[in-house]
This record gives sequence, C-alpha cells and structure tokens, in this order.
Amino acid sequence: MSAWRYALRRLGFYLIAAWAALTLNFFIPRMMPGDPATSMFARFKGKLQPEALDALREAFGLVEGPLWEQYLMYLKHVAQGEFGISVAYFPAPVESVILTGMGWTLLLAGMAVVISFTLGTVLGALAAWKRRTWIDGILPPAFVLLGAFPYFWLAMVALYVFGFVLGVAPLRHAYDDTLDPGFTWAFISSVVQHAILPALTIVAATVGGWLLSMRNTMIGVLGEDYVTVAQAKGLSRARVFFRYAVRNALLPNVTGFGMALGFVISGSLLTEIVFSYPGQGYLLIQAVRTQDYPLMQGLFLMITLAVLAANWFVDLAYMWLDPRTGSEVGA
Amino acid sequence: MVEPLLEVENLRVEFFTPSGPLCAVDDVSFTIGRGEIVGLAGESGSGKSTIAQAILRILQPPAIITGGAVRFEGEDLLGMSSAELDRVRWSQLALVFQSAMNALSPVMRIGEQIADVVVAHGQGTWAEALERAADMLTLVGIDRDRLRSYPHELSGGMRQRVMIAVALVLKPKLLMMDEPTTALDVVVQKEILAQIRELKDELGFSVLFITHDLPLMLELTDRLAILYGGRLAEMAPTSELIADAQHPYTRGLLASSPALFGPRSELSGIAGSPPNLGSLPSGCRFHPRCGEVIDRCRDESPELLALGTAPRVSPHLAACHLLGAAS
Repeated sequence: MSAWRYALRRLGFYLIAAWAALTLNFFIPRMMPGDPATSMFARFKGKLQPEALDALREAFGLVEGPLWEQYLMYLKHVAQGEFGISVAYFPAPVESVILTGMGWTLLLAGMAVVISFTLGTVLGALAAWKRRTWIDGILPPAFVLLGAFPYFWLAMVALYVFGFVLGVAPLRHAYDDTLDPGFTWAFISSVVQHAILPALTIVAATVGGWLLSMRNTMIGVLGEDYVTVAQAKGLSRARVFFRYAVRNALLPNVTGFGMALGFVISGSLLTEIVFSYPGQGYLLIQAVRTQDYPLMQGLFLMITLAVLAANWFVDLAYMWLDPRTGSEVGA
Repeated sequence: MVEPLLEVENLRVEFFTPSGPLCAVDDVSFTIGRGEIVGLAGESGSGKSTIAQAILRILQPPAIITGGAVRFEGEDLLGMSSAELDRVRWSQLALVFQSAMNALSPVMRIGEQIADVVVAHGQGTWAEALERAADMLTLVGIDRDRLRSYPHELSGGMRQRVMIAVALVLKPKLLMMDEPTTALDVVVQKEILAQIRELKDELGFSVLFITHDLPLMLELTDRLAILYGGRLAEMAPTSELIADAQHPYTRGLLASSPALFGPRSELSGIAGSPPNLGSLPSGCRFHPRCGEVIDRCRDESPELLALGTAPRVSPHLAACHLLGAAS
C-alpha cells in the first residue's frame, strides 16, 4: 500500500470520528429536559436582550422545523465556524472568544510542551547513553520527583515565591494591562515576562515523564544488535548515538508528543487558573461558572477536533519517521 | 614462520553478575592464518560468540575481558585507545551477526548503512560511498536498486547478504561470522555459504566461522576448534579432526550428526546438558558427561597438548587426560 493511501485512510477515519463528535454535540442539549436557551434566558432576569434569546436558540440549533432540518442548519453553522453568541462575554460571538483564548493557549502551553518534550527527550537519551554514571543517577529521579508533586501546588508555590515574595515575575494575566496589544517591543517583552513562570511550571511538572520514557526506550534500543554493529563499524560516537540509537528510540515518544499537542488546545486548565492566564482552560472555567452553553459547546468541539488533528499529524510524522508504517505486515 | 593474521592468546572473559563473576571464556588461545577459514564450534554457552565480540571489543558490560591478548598483524587490539580501535574496526576485521533482522537499523535505508562505514573511515564522499555500496550489493547478488530499500522490505536471506555486504565493503582482512546462517532455511544457507567461499577466493580474506552446526563446519573450514564450557577441548585441521578426533566430546559431537554419504551408522547424542558457568564441575569440565571418565578427570583439569612429537604449523591439540594415559 502506498504511503498516500495510508494517509488518506487515516484521514477518513478521523473525519468519521469528527462527525460523530459533532453529532453528539448536537444531540446532547436536546436530550436535556426543557429548553436550555429559555431557562438560561430566564436566569438572566431581563438582563439579556431578546435578540440574544434568538441567538441562543440558534446556537443550540433550536430553530423551527423538523430535527433533520435543525441538524443540517447546525452542521452548516459549524462549517462556517459559527458557534453562536457567548453568554459570559455577551455580545461577542463564541468563535472570536475561542480564537483569542486559543492564541494565548498555543503560545503558553504549546511552547511549554515543545520545550518539555525536547528537553526531556534529550536528557532521557543522554541518561541512557551515560548509564551507570552520575548523569543517570541524578537526572531521572530528580525530575520524576518534581513531576510527582501535585501540579497546582507546584504552580502556587512558584507564583508565591517568584511573584509575591521575590517579585521577579508578574502575578496574573498574559501581558501588562497598561499596554496596548501590538507589535511593539514593550508589548512583546511583557508577554514573554508573563509567560515564563507558568511555562516553567508546566515544563518542570512534565519533563520527568518524557525523560523517563525516552530513557527506558533508549536502554532497550542500546541493547539491540544494530547499535552494537554501528559501534563495531568504527562509526563516530555521535553518529551511533543520534542516527542509530536516538533515531530508533524516538518513535514511542513521538506518539506521546502528538497526544500532548492535541490536549494543549484544551488549555493547561490548572496553570491558567493559578496564573489567571486568559487561555482556553480559563475560558472553559468561565463557561462552566456562567453556564455559557454556546461557549462550552464551542470549546468541547475545538478540543475534540484538535485531538483528532494532532493524531492525524502524528500518523503523518510516523510515516516519515518509521518506514515500516503503512506497509503490508510481513512484507 | 609466517606471522599469523590473528593471534588470540590466553583470552579470558568474565561476566560480572550479581551472584559473582562467571568465566565465559577461559584461557583460550588460537591463531588464524592469512586466507584461512577457521571454525569455532560448541554448544550454547560455550563462549563462541563471546570470543568474536571480545576480539572486536564490543562486549557490553557485565562482560569484561580480564586477561590475555589479541594481536592483529602483531598489533595488540586489547591495548588500543578507542580512536585507534575505531580505525581498525571494520576496515581490518568485520563481524556478521546471527540475526540480520536485528543487525540492521529498521529506520535507515540499507544503502546508508553500507555507505556510512566508507564515509566514517574517510574512504570517500557520500556519493562515492553509495556507489561502492551499490557495487557491494551486486557482489553479494542483490540488485543495486535495492540501495533505497528498508530492511523490512527484504527477505531474511537478502538481509543476511546485505550484512555480508556491510561487512565486506572496506575489504577487511578478517571476516568473523557468528552463526550467519542459523536463522535461514537450508537452501538459502547453501547459497550464502557458496557465496562466502567465492568472495573469499576473490577478495582473499580470512574467516572465523562460528556455529553449533558441525556438518556445516566440516564442509567449510580448514581448521576447527571445539569449545566446551569456555575452554578449548580440541583443535585440529578439519580433515584430521574428522578422521582422528581425540576428545570424547568431539567424538560425541561427530556421532550426533548424520553423514549424508557413506554407510549408515547409528546416531548417538551426548548425555546430559552443557555445564552451568556458575557451578562448573571440578577437574575436566566435561567429566560428568564423559563415557570414558577416569579418576584423574574429576580432580585435575587437563592441559591442551599437541599430538605427536614433530612440530607442525597447525598442530592437532586436545585437552584430555586419556591422551596422556594412552601414550
């Protein structure tokens, strides 16, 4: 089977999964007793405009007509990227609220995951290569210990020490409120300053997992005959390490990386709460607190799609990393 | 006398296990001459693979060389720095592993795995190296288009041929083969052995052939060493060993494999199982399984002695008390 056919087959599979998620997202509100839009309208006791009720109804797909017509209308809206009006951020449309949150989340959690993965993988490979030396004796236990602390505790301690006591890091938000967002030095440096501490806490909490899994795979690979052959061939240490050992040991970690990237979109919930960082996780909490159903629905859908998309990218990356993928078994 | 290509002298390899050191190779000495095919035969655990890996110094801990010398063209391999070792490895001595599936990296094209040796030893650019890799593939009977194949796209026999191409690309003087055909079916095995003999005549390297398959050895080798429990039991020119085996273990091995030609004979095995390195028997290591055991065997380890009195280039050596008793 050709690589392209494999990629398309996987894409087909994920499209079906996405369709299933969309459909569930449509039917779940309809299985709830009553009309969520009306009950929500009532809860706001006249603080909502009548147009908002219509928008809410439409957001839930509660338009007039038979169910299949509502369903088609819903699919059409989703395809156009319209998820209705947010209650919590009224009258902003859900899609623009999510887009803003997604930007911050991608910046913070995305970078943190990439850094953590890279650092953990490199250190794990080194620890395995330098087995029975101090590097392997200290690094894995130290990082695993760090990762074993409850994350919110780690984050709050970091915020307390660096933000409150030492005052070297900002306490909240993604940038200084007095600055206008724009492509200016002041704004960008403020964004970086605000991101460093939360990003570091994510890295500190997750790097141990990457390190340990890479180290263990790497130890297995180092025992393989092809690594011994590579050494016997008189190749340089660097080539044996990177091209033969790391290249093969990387494969399982890449799967984990793809999964982690998918879940980045859901935001690092605890990080964003502790640091009041305006990303997806923060939005999700706001949505739950204010019973902002359109926003919740939009967020859940984004998270589902992001996980599916990340999985597909992992499949594609695997095709490139592991030539055995997509070929007939037993060829 | 002409200097041999490889001299192994009193080689000793120990495995440092949690329950104490185990001696896997004990005081083994042999030589390989230029253009010679020497066989190393023995049961599992007799130390035959360990010897090959010790010669290339690719033993992984807990296995450690604790004594002896390995000289290649007079140069001491065991005393070399790792940079010197990298230079000699593969350009002078190469090793073909038992399982070619595991000996090739699954995520690299075979062309790269042949060519990187050439580049690492400074014998050409990548383009030149790949050209040489293609020539090597042709030499071992694989289409040169296969350069871009991955190991999983080849059959077991083809992979073993690729490994032979990897081993021979720098035209080493000594090719060591550790059970190279064990995982292959008999037809492919025959083809590959015929090919090795052909390549040997063409390129003129020496071979150290390791296997437990005695009939195969008898067909292929010039001289044969029989290992038992990490020690040499007997070593002689192959034809002499077949005709006049001295050690009871060697005779047992010969009697346990059928002859394809000649009169039918009753097959017999050797009773018991190979010795456990952790609890080796006293005296001669073979004595608990030996049918001709005498009292001396239980207390005293026999020395490896040459048969006959006239000095020879390739003497017939055996380690058995019965030799002394008979003469």
